[in-house]
Parts: sequence; C-alpha cells; structure tokens
Amino acid sequence: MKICAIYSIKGGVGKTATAVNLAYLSAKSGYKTLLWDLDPQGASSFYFRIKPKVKGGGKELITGKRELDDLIKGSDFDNLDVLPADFSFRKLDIVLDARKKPTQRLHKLLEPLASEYDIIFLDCPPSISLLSEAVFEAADFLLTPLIPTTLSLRTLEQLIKFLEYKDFKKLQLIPFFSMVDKRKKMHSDSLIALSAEYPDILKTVIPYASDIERMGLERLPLGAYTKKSTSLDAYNALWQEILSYINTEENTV
Amino acid sequence: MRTTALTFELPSTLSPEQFVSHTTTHLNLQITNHYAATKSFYDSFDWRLYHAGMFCEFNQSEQHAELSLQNLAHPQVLMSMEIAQVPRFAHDFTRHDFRQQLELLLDMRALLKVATLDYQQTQLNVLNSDQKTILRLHLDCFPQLPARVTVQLIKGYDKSVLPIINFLQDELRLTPSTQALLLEVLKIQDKTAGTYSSKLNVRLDPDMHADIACKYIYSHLLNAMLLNQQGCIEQIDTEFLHDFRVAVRRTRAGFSQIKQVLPQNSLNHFAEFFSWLGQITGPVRDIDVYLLNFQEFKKSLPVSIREDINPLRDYLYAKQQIAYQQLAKQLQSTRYTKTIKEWESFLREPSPKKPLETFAKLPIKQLADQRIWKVYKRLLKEAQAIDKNSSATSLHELRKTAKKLRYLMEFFQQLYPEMDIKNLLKSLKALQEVLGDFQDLDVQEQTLKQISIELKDQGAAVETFLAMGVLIQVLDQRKHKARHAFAHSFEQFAQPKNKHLFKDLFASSK
Repeated sequence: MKICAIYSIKGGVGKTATAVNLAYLSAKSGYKTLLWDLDPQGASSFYFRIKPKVKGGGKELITGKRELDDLIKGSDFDNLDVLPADFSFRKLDIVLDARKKPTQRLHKLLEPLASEYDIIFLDCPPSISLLSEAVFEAADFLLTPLIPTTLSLRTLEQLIKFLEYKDFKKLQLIPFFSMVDKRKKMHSDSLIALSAEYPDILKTVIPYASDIERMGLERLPLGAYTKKSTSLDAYNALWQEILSYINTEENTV
Repeated sequence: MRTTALTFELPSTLSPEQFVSHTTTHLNLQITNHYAATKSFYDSFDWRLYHAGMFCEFNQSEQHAELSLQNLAHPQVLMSMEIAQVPRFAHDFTRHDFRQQLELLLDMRALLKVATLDYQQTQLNVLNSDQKTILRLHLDCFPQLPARVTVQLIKGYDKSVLPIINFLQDELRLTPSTQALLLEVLKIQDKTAGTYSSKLNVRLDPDMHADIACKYIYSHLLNAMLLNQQGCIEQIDTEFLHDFRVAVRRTRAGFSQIKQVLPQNSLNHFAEFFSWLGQITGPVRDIDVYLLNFQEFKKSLPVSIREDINPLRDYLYAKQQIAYQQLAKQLQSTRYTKTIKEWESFLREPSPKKPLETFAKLPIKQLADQRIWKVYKRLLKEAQAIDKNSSATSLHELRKTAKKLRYLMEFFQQLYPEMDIKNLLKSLKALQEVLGDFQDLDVQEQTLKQISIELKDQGAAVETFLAMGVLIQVLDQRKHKARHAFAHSFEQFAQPKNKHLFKDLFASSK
C-alpha cells in the first residue's frame, strides 16, 4: 500500500482537482484506491456526490473509537472508495494534540487498510499544522501542486526547509505545476525559471482550464464526463509520471 | 469498490421488460447501459479454479470488456477488472491482485475457454437524492436460461439494500440463484466440469483377469495421451506435455513390469513406439523444466549478476519454440497417428479365451500383489546397498526402481484399502522427490555445461558465462544437499510401520 498526500501550504492551487482525478485514474488502472478527504470544506466528497459527514466526527475517528473501514463509502466507480470529510475536521489539530505521539496517529489509523487498498490519496487542507506533520509521517509521496508564481516558489522553499528540518524518513516530495495559464507571461517565465532551479519538478503541466472547473457542476472526475481533452491528457500524463515513482523497485505497490 | 453481489432469477411470469418497468416506477433509477454481450468462462484444462471453488467470467461487448473471478458455491464476485482480452497465464496479468490469486491457483497452467454464452445486459443504477449510485442492478437475459438480476452492493450504503431486496423478492417474486451461472451453462451445453485429472484412478475388480485389467489400465493411459496431445501440438502450456509423457512412461512401466499377460510379440512392437515417444518428448520437457524453474534459478544468484543470466532464458525460449515445432510435426506424423490407432484397436480387441501367456487369466489382485512385493523388495535391496561413496548411476537406478514401484501401486491402488495405499504412496513419493531432485540437478548441471558451449558459438557475453558458472555452483550445492538428504528420507520410507504395511498388503500372494 502506498500513500500519496496531495498537499500545499497555499490554498486554491488545484489540490482537490488533482486528488479526485488521480484517484479516479488510479482506480481505472486497476489499483484498489481510497481517497480520504481531510479538508473540512469537503470538496472531494462533493465531487463524488458523497455527503461530507462522518459518524462521530473527527474526534471518534482519530481516537480510534470508530473503525476507519466502517466510515468508507463506495464511489460510483469500480476500485474507488472515499472516506468523506466532516466539518469537524477543522478541529483535527486539537484532537491530535490531545493524543500521545500525535504525528504518528494517521499512520496508525491507515495501517489496517493495507490489505484492502493499493493506493491511498489524502486530500489535505491548506496549512502547515500538526495534521500536516501527521500526514508527512504517514505518506510515502507528497504531491505538491505549484502555480508558477513567485509566491509558489516561496511556499515550496518553506516546505522543503520544513521537511529537511523534521527529516521524515520515507517521504518523497513530488512537486508539479498546476493551474498553468500559458497566456500569462508570468506563468510561462516562472515555469522556465522554476524548472531550471528545481529539476525534480515533474514534466507534466496541469493547465488552468474551464473543463476542470466544470467538475464542480458535473460532480464527477474529469475522465467520467470528458473522453478527450488537453486537461484529461495532462492528468493522464501526471498519473503516469507518479506511477513511475510508485513502481520503482523499492516502491512497488 | 466492487463488493458483495447477490444474484436473483426472474420468475417465468415476469419478462425482463416488465422488470425494468416495475423497478423504474418504484425506484430512482438510471439506466446506464443496454447492450448485447458474450460471457466466456475460463479455467485451466484440469479445472484448477473449479476445484478451488471458483471460476473466471469474461464479459465482452462493444462498449465494455470485464474479467471477474467468482465464487462457485454462492454467486459472488471476488475481484474484477476491465481488460481487452484474457491473458493466457497468471503471470501475464498486470493487475497484481489477479496475478497473485491466479498464480496460486493456476501455477503454470493456461486459462482456457470452457464455455461461452451470448446475452443481453441492462445496467440500472439506483440513485439517492444527490444522484449518487447507492446500488447497481445488472439484468442479464439469456436465450435458454431464466434472466438473472445481480445486485451489486456499494460499500457504505448498506441501509438502502434491504428495502430494495425486499421489493425484488416480495413484490416482483424474484428468487435467489442457488447455482453459479457457469454450472447452468455447462448443463445446457452438455458439458461437465472437473472431468480431467492427471491422477490415475482405475476401478478394478480383484478377480478380474489380468489381461482384461491390463488392457483397461492401458486404455486409461491412452485416453490421457489423446486428451493431451493437441495441447502439446498447440503448445498451450507445459503441463499437456508433462501429462502426455507421464502416460507414456506409465505405459512403458506397465510393459516392463507386467509380463506374460498380453501377447509379447504385439507388445514388442508397441514398446518400440512408446520408447520413441519417450525420446521425442524428453528434450522438450527438459527445456520446459528449465524455463519453469528459471525465475527461481535467477533468484538464487547474487543480485548484482541476476540480469546477466537473461540471455540463457532467451536462448532457451528460442530452443523451446523449435523443439515444440518439431514435436508437433512428429505428433502429426503418419507413424504416430497410425500406431496410436493400432494401439487403440489392440486394446479394444477381446481377449482370447485360451491365451498362451502364463499370467493372462490370473486374478489381477494376485498379480498386483506379486509384482508390487517383488519391486518393493528390489527397491529395499538397492537402497540398502547405497552408501556415501555410491555413484550417481546407482542412485539413478534406484530412482528408476522407485518410479516403477510407484506406477505399479498407482495402477492397482483401487484393489487396496484407500488410506493404507495413500500413506504408502505418500511415503514413496517423499523418497522419490529426494532421488528426483538429485538426478534432475545432476542433469541440469550437465545440460548447463552443454548449453554454455552452444552459447559460446553464438558469441554470448562474458557476464552471461559468469552468471551461468555461479548457477552451476548453486545447482551443485543443491545436488549435494539432496544427496545427503537421501539417507534420512530412505530411513523414513523403510520405517517398520511402512514395512509391516507393505508386507500386510502385498506379501499374501507370494
């Protein structure tokens, strides 16, 4: 089982669209996939038409009073389940803080799901908090969407410094460009500059496109209502690039 | 994720159209698909999935192709995947859950189509107020069988299931399917599952005349050859040739071990033919065994040189193709087809009332006792003569004797108490395995040396020879291990409990 967290300190960078579309493509490739919507806004749950409600809320979930497996919902797609968000997730930091070894809690909760899922995607809320640290402990890959702007560069640098400082043993940072509008000169220039400075940024570029925005109207992953589009091609390419990381010999699912 | 599925049958009073109409009126339904499709059922030639209580179903239409592994006893989809065509071998599956499960069940056997059925499918999604699917209904209409509705549950929406199931059962009078569709299909197509087995189990009467009993046994073996010959010609998987060869070897063991029962001049003619079959199939089987063990051989090498051995695999694959082509020609040759027919006719001929052969009219149980007892005594004598200085040849001779004993015991196993003969066969098999390992490793070591000469002529890389050298060393170490294991395994075989049992079962007619 591999855990991929879609994470950024910044909001509005395309995390949820990435999480929903990657989870959909992963399931379509035959991997038993779970998407955990950790963001109290519940956008991932909304895209899958699943009520953002968890019995007992975040507290019972984190304290282990409820089995994670009992809270999971099947999506409309084969091989893809969703652990929906709950508005109480806004207080997860407080719940975690009250536990012993709070940063290892998420890892412990996810461990029993190893026999059931090949890949788990975590759609994380934007912040850097105790919950983020718990995500970094649990995840194998940290997929970080970057809008090619100066501010994104700053947040990426902040994140790299934080990860180096905390030294998360197995976590692999995988940044990629998201919501790129090539008509904007600043985006094109930043794309070139950032790629040169950070060669580890993935080659795939997710465009800023109206068909991705339509996901909110359709309440479906992109591939479920579009058979062919540049955006879908981009998500497919992104999934293949990520899969090549997942399927390296030491990482194989 | 696909979870448990329940299957129901439509009553004869309810047409599929009426079913759709009634459900649409009562439930928030979305009809997502309606199409013509074909169901193909897959298993190995020897029904390994069936024996494990499962089967593979491949549903194919213009829009969709899906393979599922299902439970046989109570209709349930265990796993499913979209796939354009069914891979032949478990290791060809890209989805690891399928690969893992099927490798366990099928091992080296190919997946073959065992039945097909055309049908019409309608998929109906039951939706909630968010237009989220909370349950799926698959309505399958077949030409000769009652239509079936499969209720596919969606995880986390269990509460919605019961009212719908109640509606299907109470209002529409649907009844739960009790039998897997495969079994129904086989029934209407006059086929039977699980019919083939490579195990020999011939029903014999203890008082049956030896000549009739022998012909009966040989007929079983001939049948095994005929069932497997096409699979050898088409090179479907390695086990067709394996089972074909076992039938040939058993027949030859019968010729050498049961004499003075059938006319010797006829048997001499056929013995030559079966010896030829042994010769033409042997080299092909040797390559098969190498390739079947290749991954394991590779793993025994240090990681740094594992990939260097790959040219050996490629060379063996190429050799295997040529060898199978040659074998296919021989199995379609006049010599083969003509002699097989002659053998078949010979076995069908009624036995003479006053035969010249001394033991022809002996009750088969008496002959079986005598032969098994004699070969058993010979085995003990040969084994007791083996010490740590004995040559590989003497161990090879002992292996041959053990094999003859095993075949005789298998031919006549129905004449003896089931548990007793099974326990003795198990014990003998354990001894044979040690002897077989030793012999196989010895041959493999020699063959590798021979292949290295052939590869040298082809200009293979130095790294490949180095890796082969290490492999020879590994094989040699294993061979010595097997050699050391002999004493213990013979001790186990010759333990007093077994000795007494051999005596009780077989020494009575001495």
